[in-house]
Amino acid sequence: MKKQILSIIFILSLSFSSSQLISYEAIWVNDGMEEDYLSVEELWSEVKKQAIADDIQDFWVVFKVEKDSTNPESMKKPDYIVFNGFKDDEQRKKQTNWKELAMKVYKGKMSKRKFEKAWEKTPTVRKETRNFLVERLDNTMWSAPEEGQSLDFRFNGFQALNDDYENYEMKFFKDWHEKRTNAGLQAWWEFNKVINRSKNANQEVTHFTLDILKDGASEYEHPDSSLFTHQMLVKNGVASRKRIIGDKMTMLYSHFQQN
Amino acid sequence: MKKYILSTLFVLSISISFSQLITHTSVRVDDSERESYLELEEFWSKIHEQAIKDEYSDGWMLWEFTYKDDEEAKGKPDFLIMNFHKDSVQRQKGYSIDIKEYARKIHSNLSKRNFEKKWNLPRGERNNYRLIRLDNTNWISTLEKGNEIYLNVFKALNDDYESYEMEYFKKMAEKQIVNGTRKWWEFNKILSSNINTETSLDGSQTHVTIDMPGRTPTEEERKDMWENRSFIDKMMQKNGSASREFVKRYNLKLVMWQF
Repeated sequence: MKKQILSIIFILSLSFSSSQLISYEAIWVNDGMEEDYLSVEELWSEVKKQAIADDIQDFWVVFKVEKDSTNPESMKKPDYIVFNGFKDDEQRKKQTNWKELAMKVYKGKMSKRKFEKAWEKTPTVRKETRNFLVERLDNTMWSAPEEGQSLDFRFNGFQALNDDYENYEMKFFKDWHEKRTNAGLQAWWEFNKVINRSKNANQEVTHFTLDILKDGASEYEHPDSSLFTHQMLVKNGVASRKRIIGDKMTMLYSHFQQN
Repeated sequence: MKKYILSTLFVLSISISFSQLITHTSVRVDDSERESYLELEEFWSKIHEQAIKDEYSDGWMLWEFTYKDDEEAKGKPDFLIMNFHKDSVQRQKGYSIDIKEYARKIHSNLSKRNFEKKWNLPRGERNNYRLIRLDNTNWISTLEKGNEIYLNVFKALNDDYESYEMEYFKKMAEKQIVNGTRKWWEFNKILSSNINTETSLDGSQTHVTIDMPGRTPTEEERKDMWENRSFIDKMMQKNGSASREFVKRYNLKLVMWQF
Protein backbone atom coordinates (compact mmCIF):
# COMPACT_ATOMS: atom_id res chain seq x y z
CA MET A 1 0.00 0.00 0.00
CA LYS A 2 2.85 2.33 0.92
CA LYS A 3 4.41 1.58 -2.48
CA GLN A 4 1.12 2.31 -4.19
CA ILE A 5 0.85 5.71 -2.56
CA LEU A 6 4.46 6.46 -3.38
CA SER A 7 3.79 5.45 -6.95
CA ILE A 8 0.86 7.77 -7.33
CA ILE A 9 2.78 10.67 -5.85
CA PHE A 10 5.69 9.84 -8.09
CA ILE A 11 3.44 10.34 -11.13
CA LEU A 12 2.12 13.63 -10.02
CA SER A 13 5.52 14.95 -9.35
CA LEU A 14 7.32 13.76 -12.44
CA SER A 15 4.89 13.85 -15.27
CA PHE A 16 4.58 17.61 -15.51
CA SER A 17 8.21 18.33 -15.20
CA SER A 18 9.98 18.87 -18.48
CA SER A 19 12.52 21.48 -17.28
CA GLN A 20 12.98 19.84 -13.91
CA LEU A 21 16.45 19.71 -12.40
CA ILE A 22 17.70 16.75 -10.41
CA SER A 23 20.78 16.52 -8.28
CA TYR A 24 22.24 13.02 -8.09
CA GLU A 25 24.48 12.10 -5.19
CA ALA A 26 26.42 8.83 -5.59
CA ILE A 27 27.47 7.87 -2.06
CA TRP A 28 30.12 5.48 -0.81
CA VAL A 29 29.54 4.73 2.89
CA ASN A 30 32.42 4.43 5.36
CA ASP A 31 33.30 0.83 6.18
CA GLY A 32 31.10 -0.55 8.94
CA MET A 33 28.77 2.48 8.94
CA GLU A 34 25.92 1.07 6.89
CA GLU A 35 23.51 1.17 9.85
CA ASP A 36 24.61 4.71 10.72
CA TYR A 37 24.08 5.82 7.14
CA LEU A 38 20.55 4.47 7.12
CA SER A 39 19.79 6.16 10.44
CA VAL A 40 20.99 9.44 8.94
CA GLU A 41 18.68 9.03 5.94
CA GLU A 42 15.87 8.09 8.33
CA LEU A 43 16.45 11.39 10.12
CA TRP A 44 16.61 13.29 6.83
CA SER A 45 13.47 11.63 5.51
CA GLU A 46 11.23 13.72 7.73
CA VAL A 47 13.25 16.86 7.02
CA LYS A 48 12.94 16.33 3.26
CA LYS A 49 9.22 15.68 3.62
CA GLN A 50 8.88 19.10 5.27
CA ALA A 51 11.18 20.74 2.70
CA ILE A 52 8.94 19.46 -0.09
CA ALA A 53 5.84 20.69 1.76
CA ASP A 54 7.55 24.09 2.13
CA ASP A 55 8.32 24.18 -1.63
CA ILE A 56 12.06 24.09 -1.02
CA GLN A 57 12.39 21.12 -3.33
CA ASP A 58 10.19 18.89 -5.47
CA PHE A 59 11.13 15.35 -4.52
CA TRP A 60 13.69 13.23 -2.71
CA VAL A 61 14.51 9.56 -3.25
CA VAL A 62 17.16 7.28 -1.74
CA PHE A 63 18.18 4.20 -3.69
CA LYS A 64 20.41 1.34 -2.61
CA VAL A 65 22.65 0.12 -5.43
CA GLU A 66 22.71 -3.64 -6.02
CA LYS A 67 26.22 -5.08 -6.17
CA ASP A 68 27.59 -8.46 -7.10
CA SER A 69 30.09 -9.49 -4.43
CA THR A 70 31.75 -11.92 -6.85
CA ASN A 71 32.52 -9.13 -9.31
CA PRO A 72 35.29 -6.68 -8.28
CA GLU A 73 34.08 -4.06 -10.81
CA SER A 74 30.56 -4.22 -9.40
CA MET A 75 31.95 -3.71 -5.87
CA LYS A 76 33.37 -0.35 -6.99
CA LYS A 77 29.85 0.98 -7.55
CA PRO A 78 28.45 3.49 -5.02
CA ASP A 79 26.44 2.11 -2.11
CA TYR A 80 23.56 4.56 -2.42
CA ILE A 81 22.25 7.10 -4.89
CA VAL A 82 20.15 10.01 -3.70
CA PHE A 83 17.95 12.06 -6.07
CA ASN A 84 17.01 15.59 -5.04
CA GLY A 85 14.49 17.01 -7.51
CA PHE A 86 13.75 20.69 -8.10
CA LYS A 87 11.00 22.09 -10.26
CA ASP A 88 13.39 24.69 -11.67
CA ASP A 89 16.69 26.45 -11.05
CA GLU A 90 15.05 29.13 -8.95
CA GLN A 91 13.82 26.55 -6.47
CA ARG A 92 17.17 24.78 -6.52
CA LYS A 93 19.01 27.97 -5.59
CA LYS A 94 16.73 28.84 -2.66
CA GLN A 95 18.83 29.37 0.47
CA THR A 96 17.77 26.95 3.20
CA ASN A 97 19.03 26.58 6.75
CA TRP A 98 18.66 22.81 6.88
CA LYS A 99 19.53 22.48 10.56
CA GLU A 100 16.90 25.05 11.51
CA LEU A 101 14.33 23.20 9.39
CA ALA A 102 15.33 19.85 10.91
CA MET A 103 15.03 21.26 14.45
CA LYS A 104 11.55 22.53 13.60
CA VAL A 105 10.57 19.10 12.25
CA TYR A 106 11.87 17.21 15.32
CA LYS A 107 10.72 19.75 17.93
CA GLY A 108 8.78 17.85 20.58
CA LYS A 109 9.64 14.52 18.96
CA MET A 110 13.27 14.29 19.97
CA SER A 111 15.33 15.81 22.78
CA LYS A 112 17.72 18.57 21.76
CA ARG A 113 20.67 16.45 22.86
CA LYS A 114 19.51 13.43 20.90
CA PHE A 115 18.83 15.60 17.88
CA GLU A 116 22.33 17.16 18.02
CA LYS A 117 23.89 13.70 18.25
CA ALA A 118 21.91 12.44 15.28
CA TRP A 119 22.54 15.60 13.26
CA GLU A 120 26.29 15.45 13.84
CA LYS A 121 26.36 11.95 12.43
CA THR A 122 25.45 13.22 8.95
CA PRO A 123 28.92 14.26 7.77
CA THR A 124 30.63 11.21 9.31
CA VAL A 125 28.93 8.37 7.42
CA ARG A 126 30.07 9.12 3.89
CA LYS A 127 33.44 8.02 2.58
CA GLU A 128 32.88 9.79 -0.74
CA THR A 129 30.12 11.60 -2.60
CA ARG A 130 30.08 12.30 -6.32
CA ASN A 131 27.52 14.71 -7.73
CA PHE A 132 25.76 15.28 -11.01
CA LEU A 133 23.22 17.98 -11.77
CA VAL A 134 20.91 16.91 -14.59
CA GLU A 135 18.06 18.46 -16.51
CA ARG A 136 14.99 16.42 -17.41
CA LEU A 137 14.66 16.24 -21.19
CA ASP A 138 11.81 13.79 -21.48
CA ASN A 139 9.81 11.11 -19.72
CA THR A 140 6.89 8.75 -20.24
CA MET A 141 3.61 8.95 -18.33
CA TRP A 142 3.64 7.08 -15.04
CA SER A 143 1.96 3.68 -15.06
CA ALA A 144 1.27 2.53 -11.51
CA PRO A 145 2.12 -1.06 -10.58
CA GLU A 146 -0.53 -3.53 -9.49
CA GLU A 147 -1.13 -4.00 -5.77
CA GLY A 148 1.82 -6.00 -4.41
CA GLN A 149 3.84 -5.72 -7.63
CA SER A 150 7.38 -4.57 -6.94
CA LEU A 151 9.51 -2.39 -9.20
CA ASP A 152 13.00 -2.75 -10.71
CA PHE A 153 14.96 0.49 -11.00
CA ARG A 154 17.56 0.58 -13.79
CA PHE A 155 19.79 3.64 -13.75
CA ASN A 156 22.01 4.10 -16.80
CA GLY A 157 24.62 6.73 -17.57
CA PHE A 158 25.47 7.25 -21.24
CA GLN A 159 28.04 9.17 -23.21
CA ALA A 160 26.52 10.74 -26.33
CA LEU A 161 28.67 9.81 -29.33
CA ASN A 162 26.99 12.03 -31.90
CA ASP A 163 24.46 14.84 -32.33
CA ASP A 164 21.61 12.43 -33.08
CA TYR A 165 21.71 10.74 -29.68
CA GLU A 166 19.14 12.89 -27.83
CA ASN A 167 16.67 12.54 -30.70
CA TYR A 168 17.18 8.77 -30.81
CA GLU A 169 16.17 8.65 -27.13
CA MET A 170 13.24 11.05 -27.39
CA LYS A 171 11.90 10.20 -30.86
CA PHE A 172 12.64 6.51 -31.12
CA PHE A 173 13.50 4.75 -27.84
CA LYS A 174 10.80 6.67 -25.94
CA ASP A 175 8.17 5.14 -28.23
CA TRP A 176 9.57 1.71 -27.33
CA HIS A 177 9.26 2.50 -23.60
CA GLU A 178 5.71 3.76 -24.16
CA LYS A 179 4.78 0.53 -25.94
CA ARG A 180 6.25 -1.46 -23.06
CA THR A 181 4.33 0.75 -20.65
CA ASN A 182 1.08 0.19 -22.55
CA ALA A 183 1.77 -3.55 -22.45
CA GLY A 184 1.86 -3.29 -18.62
CA LEU A 185 5.56 -4.11 -18.33
CA GLN A 186 7.09 -0.76 -17.50
CA ALA A 187 6.13 1.93 -15.03
CA TRP A 188 8.39 4.81 -16.06
CA TRP A 189 11.22 6.04 -18.27
CA GLU A 190 13.04 9.32 -17.98
CA PHE A 191 15.88 10.92 -19.90
CA ASN A 192 18.16 13.52 -18.36
CA LYS A 193 21.08 15.59 -19.57
CA VAL A 194 24.09 16.29 -17.35
CA ILE A 195 24.54 20.04 -16.96
CA ASN A 196 27.07 20.02 -14.13
CA ARG A 197 29.12 17.56 -12.09
CA SER A 198 31.66 17.43 -9.29
CA LYS A 199 35.33 17.05 -10.16
CA ASN A 200 35.42 13.52 -8.73
CA ALA A 201 32.41 12.36 -10.77
CA ASN A 202 32.70 10.45 -14.02
CA GLN A 203 33.62 12.99 -16.67
CA GLU A 204 32.44 11.00 -19.71
CA VAL A 205 28.75 10.61 -18.89
CA THR A 206 26.56 13.14 -20.70
CA HIS A 207 23.06 11.70 -20.09
CA PHE A 208 21.20 9.45 -17.68
CA THR A 209 18.11 7.33 -18.11
CA LEU A 210 15.99 5.79 -15.37
CA ASP A 211 13.85 2.82 -16.37
CA ILE A 212 11.37 1.53 -13.83
CA LEU A 213 10.24 -1.95 -14.77
CA LYS A 214 7.39 -3.88 -13.27
CA ASP A 215 8.58 -7.00 -11.53
CA GLY A 216 7.39 -10.28 -12.95
CA ALA A 217 6.84 -8.72 -16.36
CA SER A 218 7.73 -10.96 -19.25
CA GLU A 219 10.20 -10.12 -22.03
CA TYR A 220 8.81 -7.64 -24.50
CA GLU A 221 9.27 -7.91 -28.24
CA HIS A 222 8.64 -4.71 -30.15
CA PRO A 223 5.92 -5.24 -32.79
CA ASP A 224 8.23 -3.80 -35.48
CA SER A 225 11.31 -5.81 -34.49
CA SER A 226 11.31 -7.80 -37.74
CA LEU A 227 11.24 -4.65 -39.89
CA PHE A 228 14.47 -3.41 -41.45
CA THR A 229 13.73 0.24 -40.54
CA HIS A 230 13.28 -0.69 -36.89
CA GLN A 231 16.44 -2.81 -36.89
CA MET A 232 18.49 0.04 -38.38
CA LEU A 233 17.10 2.59 -35.91
CA VAL A 234 18.03 0.27 -33.05
CA LYS A 235 21.50 -0.34 -34.50
CA ASN A 236 22.25 3.33 -35.14
CA GLY A 237 20.49 4.51 -31.99
CA VAL A 238 22.60 2.18 -29.86
CA ALA A 239 25.70 3.31 -31.78
CA SER A 240 24.93 6.96 -30.94
CA ARG A 241 25.71 6.36 -27.26
CA LYS A 242 28.11 4.46 -25.04
CA ARG A 243 26.89 3.07 -21.74
CA ILE A 244 29.24 4.15 -18.98
CA ILE A 245 27.13 3.46 -15.88
CA GLY A 246 24.55 0.70 -15.42
CA ASP A 247 23.08 0.24 -11.98
CA LYS A 248 20.19 -1.79 -10.63
CA MET A 249 18.71 -0.14 -7.57
CA THR A 250 16.16 -0.63 -4.82
CA MET A 251 14.17 2.35 -3.58
CA LEU A 252 14.50 2.85 0.20
CA TYR A 253 12.95 6.26 0.85
CA SER A 254 11.00 8.72 -1.22
CA HIS A 255 8.95 11.87 -0.86
CA PHE A 256 7.22 13.73 -3.68
CA GLN A 257 5.31 16.97 -4.01
CA GLN A 258 1.60 16.25 -3.60
CA ASN A 259 0.25 18.68 -6.15
CA MET B 1 -2.71 1.19 -78.85
CA LYS B 2 0.63 -0.29 -79.87
CA LYS B 3 2.32 1.84 -77.21
CA TYR B 4 -0.17 0.64 -74.63
CA ILE B 5 0.52 -2.98 -75.48
CA LEU B 6 4.25 -2.35 -75.32
CA SER B 7 3.87 -0.65 -71.95
CA THR B 8 1.84 -3.52 -70.63
CA LEU B 9 4.46 -5.96 -71.80
CA PHE B 10 7.11 -3.82 -70.14
CA VAL B 11 5.26 -4.09 -66.82
CA LEU B 12 4.86 -7.80 -67.10
CA SER B 13 8.42 -8.23 -68.14
CA ILE B 14 9.98 -6.13 -65.45
CA SER B 15 7.73 -6.43 -62.45
CA ILE B 16 7.80 -10.20 -62.27
CA SER B 17 11.47 -10.52 -62.86
CA PHE B 18 13.43 -10.04 -59.65
CA SER B 19 16.17 -12.40 -60.76
CA GLN B 20 16.30 -10.88 -64.21
CA LEU B 21 19.77 -10.68 -65.72
CA ILE B 22 20.64 -7.51 -67.59
CA THR B 23 23.59 -6.55 -69.73
CA HIS B 24 24.43 -2.88 -70.02
CA THR B 25 26.63 -2.10 -72.99
CA SER B 26 27.99 1.43 -73.18
CA VAL B 27 28.86 2.50 -76.71
CA ARG B 28 31.14 5.29 -77.93
CA VAL B 29 30.74 6.38 -81.54
CA ASP B 30 32.45 9.12 -83.48
CA ASP B 31 30.17 12.01 -84.42
CA SER B 32 30.73 11.14 -88.08
CA GLU B 33 29.41 7.60 -87.49
CA ARG B 34 26.40 8.48 -85.37
CA GLU B 35 23.79 8.15 -88.12
CA SER B 36 25.26 4.85 -89.32
CA TYR B 37 25.29 3.54 -85.77
CA LEU B 38 21.58 4.36 -85.35
CA GLU B 39 20.94 2.59 -88.67
CA LEU B 40 22.72 -0.47 -87.24
CA GLU B 41 20.47 -0.41 -84.17
CA GLU B 42 17.35 -0.07 -86.36
CA PHE B 43 18.58 -3.19 -88.13
CA TRP B 44 19.12 -4.94 -84.79
CA SER B 45 15.76 -3.81 -83.41
CA LYS B 46 13.97 -6.25 -85.73
CA ILE B 47 16.32 -9.06 -84.68
CA HIS B 48 15.61 -8.36 -81.01
CA GLU B 49 11.86 -8.28 -81.69
CA GLN B 50 12.03 -11.82 -83.09
CA ALA B 51 14.47 -13.03 -80.40
CA ILE B 52 11.96 -11.95 -77.74
CA LYS B 53 9.17 -13.81 -79.57
CA ASP B 54 11.42 -16.88 -79.75
CA GLU B 55 12.21 -16.52 -76.02
CA TYR B 56 15.91 -16.01 -76.55
CA SER B 57 15.60 -12.66 -74.82
CA ASP B 58 13.27 -10.80 -72.48
CA GLY B 59 13.77 -7.26 -73.75
CA TRP B 60 16.05 -4.77 -75.41
CA MET B 61 16.43 -1.01 -75.05
CA LEU B 62 18.66 1.59 -76.64
CA TRP B 63 19.29 4.77 -74.65
CA GLU B 64 21.24 7.86 -75.59
CA PHE B 65 23.40 9.60 -72.98
CA THR B 66 22.62 13.31 -72.67
CA TYR B 67 25.19 15.80 -71.42
CA LYS B 68 25.02 19.48 -70.50
CA ASP B 69 27.82 20.40 -72.89
CA ASP B 70 30.81 19.04 -74.79
CA GLU B 71 33.00 19.38 -71.72
CA GLU B 72 30.75 17.04 -69.71
CA ALA B 73 30.53 14.62 -72.64
CA LYS B 74 34.29 14.37 -72.99
CA GLY B 75 35.46 10.77 -72.58
CA LYS B 76 31.92 9.54 -71.86
CA PRO B 77 29.81 7.03 -73.79
CA ASP B 78 27.15 8.07 -76.31
CA PHE B 79 24.67 5.18 -76.11
CA LEU B 80 23.63 2.49 -73.66
CA ILE B 81 22.18 -0.83 -74.79
CA MET B 82 20.22 -2.83 -72.24
CA ASN B 83 19.61 -6.52 -72.92
CA PHE B 84 17.25 -8.34 -70.57
CA HIS B 85 17.10 -12.08 -69.91
CA LYS B 86 14.61 -13.58 -67.52
CA ASP B 87 17.29 -15.88 -66.08
CA SER B 88 20.66 -17.49 -66.84
CA VAL B 89 19.00 -20.34 -68.77
CA GLN B 90 17.42 -17.92 -71.22
CA ARG B 91 20.65 -15.98 -71.55
CA GLN B 92 22.58 -19.16 -72.30
CA LYS B 93 19.93 -20.12 -74.86
CA GLY B 94 20.29 -16.70 -76.51
CA TYR B 95 24.07 -16.96 -76.62
CA SER B 96 24.00 -20.46 -78.11
CA ILE B 97 22.43 -19.47 -81.43
CA ASP B 98 24.39 -18.51 -84.54
CA ILE B 99 23.28 -14.91 -84.38
CA LYS B 100 24.38 -13.97 -87.87
CA GLU B 101 22.43 -16.82 -89.42
CA TYR B 102 19.45 -15.95 -87.20
CA ALA B 103 19.67 -12.29 -88.29
CA ARG B 104 19.88 -13.28 -91.95
CA LYS B 105 16.61 -15.24 -91.60
CA ILE B 106 14.90 -12.26 -90.00
CA HIS B 107 16.19 -9.87 -92.66
CA SER B 108 15.51 -12.30 -95.50
CA ASN B 109 14.14 -9.45 -97.60
CA LEU B 110 17.66 -7.96 -97.79
CA SER B 111 20.08 -9.04 -100.48
CA LYS B 112 23.25 -10.73 -99.22
CA ARG B 113 25.22 -7.58 -100.12
CA ASN B 114 22.79 -5.28 -98.36
CA PHE B 115 22.67 -7.59 -95.35
CA GLU B 116 26.48 -7.57 -95.11
CA LYS B 117 26.43 -3.77 -95.46
CA LYS B 118 24.02 -3.47 -92.54
CA TRP B 119 25.81 -6.12 -90.53
CA ASN B 120 29.08 -4.24 -90.84
CA LEU B 121 27.76 -0.81 -89.93
CA PRO B 122 29.92 0.90 -87.24
CA ARG B 123 29.38 -0.71 -83.84
CA GLY B 124 31.37 1.82 -81.81
CA GLU B 125 33.66 0.98 -78.90
CA ARG B 126 31.93 -0.97 -76.17
CA ASN B 127 32.16 -1.80 -72.49
CA ASN B 128 29.89 -4.46 -71.02
CA TYR B 129 28.45 -4.71 -67.53
CA ARG B 130 26.51 -7.75 -66.31
CA LEU B 131 23.85 -6.95 -63.74
CA ILE B 132 21.18 -8.77 -61.78
CA ARG B 133 17.90 -7.05 -60.94
CA LEU B 134 17.43 -7.04 -57.18
CA ASP B 135 14.25 -5.02 -56.99
CA ASN B 136 12.01 -2.54 -58.78
CA THR B 137 8.73 -0.67 -58.44
CA ASN B 138 5.68 -1.53 -60.54
CA TRP B 139 5.52 0.06 -63.96
CA ILE B 140 2.25 1.98 -64.31
CA SER B 141 3.24 4.47 -66.97
CA THR B 142 3.64 4.55 -70.74
CA LEU B 143 6.94 3.92 -72.43
CA GLU B 144 7.67 6.59 -75.03
CA LYS B 145 10.57 7.57 -77.24
CA GLY B 146 12.44 10.36 -75.47
CA ASN B 147 11.58 9.09 -71.96
CA GLU B 148 14.32 10.27 -69.62
CA ILE B 149 15.99 8.25 -66.90
CA TYR B 150 18.78 8.77 -64.39
CA LEU B 151 21.24 5.94 -64.07
CA ASN B 152 23.02 6.19 -60.72
CA VAL B 153 26.16 4.21 -60.00
CA PHE B 154 26.99 3.32 -56.39
CA LYS B 155 29.61 1.54 -54.38
CA ALA B 156 28.22 -0.35 -51.35
CA LEU B 157 30.05 0.60 -48.17
CA ASN B 158 28.50 -1.89 -45.77
CA ASP B 159 26.27 -4.98 -45.55
CA ASP B 160 23.13 -2.92 -44.87
CA TYR B 161 23.22 -1.10 -48.21
CA GLU B 162 21.07 -3.47 -50.30
CA SER B 163 18.42 -3.60 -47.56
CA TYR B 164 18.41 0.21 -47.29
CA GLU B 165 17.61 0.36 -51.01
CA MET B 166 15.00 -2.40 -51.03
CA GLU B 167 13.39 -1.88 -47.62
CA TYR B 168 13.54 1.90 -47.33
CA PHE B 169 14.44 3.89 -50.46
CA LYS B 170 12.05 1.78 -52.57
CA LYS B 171 9.17 2.87 -50.32
CA MET B 172 10.10 6.52 -50.91
CA ALA B 173 10.09 5.87 -54.67
CA GLU B 174 6.68 4.17 -54.41
CA LYS B 175 5.23 7.23 -52.63
CA GLN B 176 6.54 9.41 -55.46
CA ILE B 177 5.03 7.07 -58.04
CA VAL B 178 1.67 7.39 -56.30
CA ASN B 179 1.80 11.21 -56.41
CA GLY B 180 3.12 11.21 -59.97
CA THR B 181 6.55 12.75 -59.34
CA ARG B 182 8.27 9.52 -60.37
CA LYS B 183 7.55 6.78 -62.87
CA TRP B 184 10.08 4.08 -62.09
CA TRP B 185 12.82 2.89 -59.76
CA GLU B 186 14.99 -0.19 -60.14
CA PHE B 187 17.96 -1.55 -58.23
CA ASN B 188 20.61 -3.75 -59.81
CA LYS B 189 23.74 -5.39 -58.58
CA ILE B 190 26.80 -5.35 -60.86
CA LEU B 191 27.98 -8.95 -61.30
CA SER B 192 30.92 -8.33 -63.62
CA SER B 193 32.31 -5.92 -66.16
CA ASN B 194 34.21 -6.32 -69.40
CA ILE B 195 36.05 -3.10 -70.15
CA ASN B 196 37.41 -2.73 -73.68
CA THR B 197 37.69 1.00 -74.02
CA GLU B 198 38.14 4.13 -71.95
CA THR B 199 35.73 4.31 -69.01
CA SER B 200 34.89 6.89 -66.40
CA LEU B 201 34.32 4.10 -63.84
CA ASP B 202 37.15 2.35 -62.04
CA GLY B 203 35.50 -1.07 -61.64
CA SER B 204 34.95 -0.81 -57.87
CA GLN B 205 31.27 0.11 -58.31
CA THR B 206 28.79 -2.45 -57.03
CA HIS B 207 25.24 -1.31 -57.77
CA VAL B 208 23.14 0.71 -60.19
CA THR B 209 19.76 2.33 -59.66
CA ILE B 210 17.59 3.68 -62.46
CA ASP B 211 15.02 6.40 -61.80
CA MET B 212 12.49 7.69 -64.27
CA PRO B 213 11.21 11.08 -63.10
CA GLY B 214 7.56 12.07 -63.34
CA ARG B 215 6.08 15.54 -63.06
CA THR B 216 7.98 18.25 -61.20
CA PRO B 217 7.02 18.14 -57.50
CA THR B 218 5.16 21.13 -56.07
CA GLU B 219 6.80 23.27 -53.39
CA GLU B 220 4.58 21.60 -50.78
CA GLU B 221 5.59 18.12 -51.94
CA ARG B 222 9.24 19.15 -51.88
CA LYS B 223 8.80 20.43 -48.30
CA ASP B 224 7.07 17.22 -47.23
CA MET B 225 9.86 15.21 -48.76
CA TRP B 226 12.71 17.13 -47.11
CA GLU B 227 11.85 19.84 -44.58
CA ASN B 228 8.93 18.13 -42.85
CA ARG B 229 10.64 14.77 -42.60
CA SER B 230 10.22 12.82 -39.36
CA PHE B 231 13.30 12.01 -37.28
CA ILE B 232 12.98 8.38 -38.36
CA ASP B 233 13.05 9.36 -42.06
CA LYS B 234 15.99 11.71 -41.46
CA MET B 235 17.99 8.95 -39.78
CA MET B 236 17.08 6.31 -42.37
CA GLN B 237 18.10 8.64 -45.19
CA LYS B 238 21.27 9.73 -43.41
CA ASN B 239 22.41 6.21 -42.57
CA GLY B 240 21.13 4.78 -45.84
CA SER B 241 23.14 7.35 -47.77
CA ALA B 242 26.16 6.56 -45.61
CA SER B 243 25.88 2.89 -46.54
CA ARG B 244 26.83 3.68 -50.16
CA GLU B 245 29.17 5.93 -52.06
CA PHE B 246 27.43 7.82 -54.83
CA VAL B 247 29.82 7.55 -57.75
CA LYS B 248 28.13 9.05 -60.79
CA ARG B 249 24.79 9.97 -62.31
CA TYR B 250 24.12 9.63 -66.03
CA ASN B 251 21.14 11.16 -67.83
CA LEU B 252 19.72 9.12 -70.68
CA LYS B 253 16.78 9.30 -73.08
CA LEU B 254 15.03 6.41 -74.76
CA VAL B 255 15.72 5.87 -78.45
CA MET B 256 14.43 2.35 -79.30
CA TRP B 257 13.08 -0.65 -77.43
CA GLN B 258 11.52 -4.07 -77.82
CA PHE B 259 9.68 -6.09 -75.16
